[in-house]
Amino acid sequence: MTVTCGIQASGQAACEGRATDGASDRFLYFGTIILVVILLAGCAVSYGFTPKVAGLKTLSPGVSTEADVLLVLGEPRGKGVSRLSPDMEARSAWFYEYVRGDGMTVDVRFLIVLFDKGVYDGYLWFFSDHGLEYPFWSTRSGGSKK
Amino acid sequence: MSSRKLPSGPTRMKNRTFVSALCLVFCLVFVCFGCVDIRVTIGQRPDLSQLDTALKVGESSDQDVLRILGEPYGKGKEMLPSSARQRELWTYYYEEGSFKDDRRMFVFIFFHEGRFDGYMWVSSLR
Repeated sequence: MTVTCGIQASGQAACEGRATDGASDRFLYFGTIILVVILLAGCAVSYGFTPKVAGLKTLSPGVSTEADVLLVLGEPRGKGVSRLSPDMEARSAWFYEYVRGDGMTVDVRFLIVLFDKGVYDGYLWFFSDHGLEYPFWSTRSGGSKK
Repeated sequence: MSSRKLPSGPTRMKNRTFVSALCLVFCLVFVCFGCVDIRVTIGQRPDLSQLDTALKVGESSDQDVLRILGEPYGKGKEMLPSSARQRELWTYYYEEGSFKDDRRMFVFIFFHEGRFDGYMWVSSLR
């Protein structure tokens, strides 16, 4: 049984269910609502691991290799490409992420490491250490949870 | 002939509560044993293979980008130290997750005077 929910850029949300075991649509949707409520009620989930940004100071731009970065920061959770202007060549990027949510707040920690021809070239990281409140859950206007 | 009495109000309420609790337990068991998988997606996944094929940095227009990648998730401006000038910025964000995993994609598209001027994307999607 699989239920897929989507939130579009416009903010519209929709769910569709596909019963693979013959269960009725009514039960499927009822179950979905229950599960979402359970999830929002306090089940903490986390994905990835906190980027080891303290290790960045041991890396030298233009000198450190991909192997050095791998040793210091570990295996990236994803990768990417940057070509910041027309006169630049495309460069590779490694993506580290950690996301933790407990139904009320979500913490995100992202690190992007940039390479130039396989050599460490810089980084960008940002953490939300105080928990971002889900906007649809907030009863206040525009405030983040402290 | 025996006459069966209908349950009284409080009894009916107890039955309803019991059925609801039973459903809740079933749902929990389904989740615990992986029978139900709720997948959540946010945004539209842009086709990044088009970035260096259908689109040309320094040549394509913002309308070309709109046609190829679709409506951006957000807009902004960029002027990092490496940039010679302030540029328009379009952002695309896509996320898909379930109980087991959650992954996302960030795409940043830079424009100078309506021309596609560069990009950066990172993705943890499989």
